[in-house]
Amino acid sequence: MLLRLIHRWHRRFGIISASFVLLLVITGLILNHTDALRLDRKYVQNRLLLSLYNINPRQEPRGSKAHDLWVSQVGERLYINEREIRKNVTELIGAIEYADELIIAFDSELLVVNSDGAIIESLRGAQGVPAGMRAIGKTVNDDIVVRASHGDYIVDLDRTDWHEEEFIKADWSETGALPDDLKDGLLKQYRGKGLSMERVLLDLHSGRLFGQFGVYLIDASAILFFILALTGVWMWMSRIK
Amino acid sequence: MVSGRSLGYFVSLICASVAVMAEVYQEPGEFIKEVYSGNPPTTEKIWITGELKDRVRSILGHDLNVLRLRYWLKDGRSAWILEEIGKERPITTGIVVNNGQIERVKVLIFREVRGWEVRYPFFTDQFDGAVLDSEMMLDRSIDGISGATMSVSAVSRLARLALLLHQYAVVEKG
Repeated sequence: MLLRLIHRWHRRFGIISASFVLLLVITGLILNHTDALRLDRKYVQNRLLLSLYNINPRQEPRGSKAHDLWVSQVGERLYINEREIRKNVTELIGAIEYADELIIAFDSELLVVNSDGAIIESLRGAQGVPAGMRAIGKTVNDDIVVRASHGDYIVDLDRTDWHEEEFIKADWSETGALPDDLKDGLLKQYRGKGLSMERVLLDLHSGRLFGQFGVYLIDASAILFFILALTGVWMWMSRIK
Repeated sequence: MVSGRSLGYFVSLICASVAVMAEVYQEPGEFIKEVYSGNPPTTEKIWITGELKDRVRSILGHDLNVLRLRYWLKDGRSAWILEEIGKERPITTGIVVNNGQIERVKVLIFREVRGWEVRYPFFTDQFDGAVLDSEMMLDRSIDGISGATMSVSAVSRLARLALLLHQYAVVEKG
């Protein structure tokens, strides 16, 4: 009688848990080969999933116009017009055009970029760039000038010479909101590289993709597997007897 | 469903912890001053193009993310501030090359979660006197550190890179 009851519930639990087994096996197998499949570098483009994860930059995109080029920051990424040129940048201070090159200023770094958008060099503290840079501009004599927390500097980038002066008059670069078309395009790009397939598969495997409910569901399926293992062994041993 | 707010908090927490993890052992500018006893020469420039670009790629396994590097050169001693990613974040390293041999390696800024042991002299002193062989490898084996394999590899690559760049810089300067 008891054996028949166990057999009946074993069969029911087996059918219920089959979909979970398939889900865990498929996602588990794929995750086991994350590196080979380069899942951390493949990005989800599905709008529903992107909205679900709320993939958006922490701050409103902003930029600076140098000559006819827009230098923009979206999250931690830097763009010239619509071309991404660098990841992991700090706060954009401003940008100027200087001798056919762009000089882009961050808090404690100057980035020199050519007209093709290729980064020529990055100058930091070792090359004399002052910490706490607040503005970059050009004087009437076309000299580069930066305003830092300790004062203003006229910069000779060729010799990396930083000459400190008080209150230099300059045409300072400003950062501000981007034109709507550019902003929309950049946000689309940013969101397109914001969510890796590895992240989604991990969350699907653990149930977190569906929030706390999903986690409890995967917990429940684990308990079902446990019961199936016990009842399966019990029935097998009962038949031997 | 993953709530946007909780995910935002999570991302902020991760970013904050990563920011906190950047350890500055010595400012690069201070390192250069120390190397040249408080009187560093003006910076020189080296373009990473052509054959040098290929050689750099073969050492690092990827292109440098810049086309030009600054360095300091005085009496056959060159100093380099170079960065390479260990696992996820760049390790900033100061390297001095004297007449084709490494004189000093110092980890200046470490941003990775693990592997910070590469900052200690028991590791960096192994590079002293090292030269490049014809295969662009160091003339000696560098002992690794358990749990810091990727950082060890990154600093070793930078040592090879500095020796290569020194060769080109000295040739350029005649």
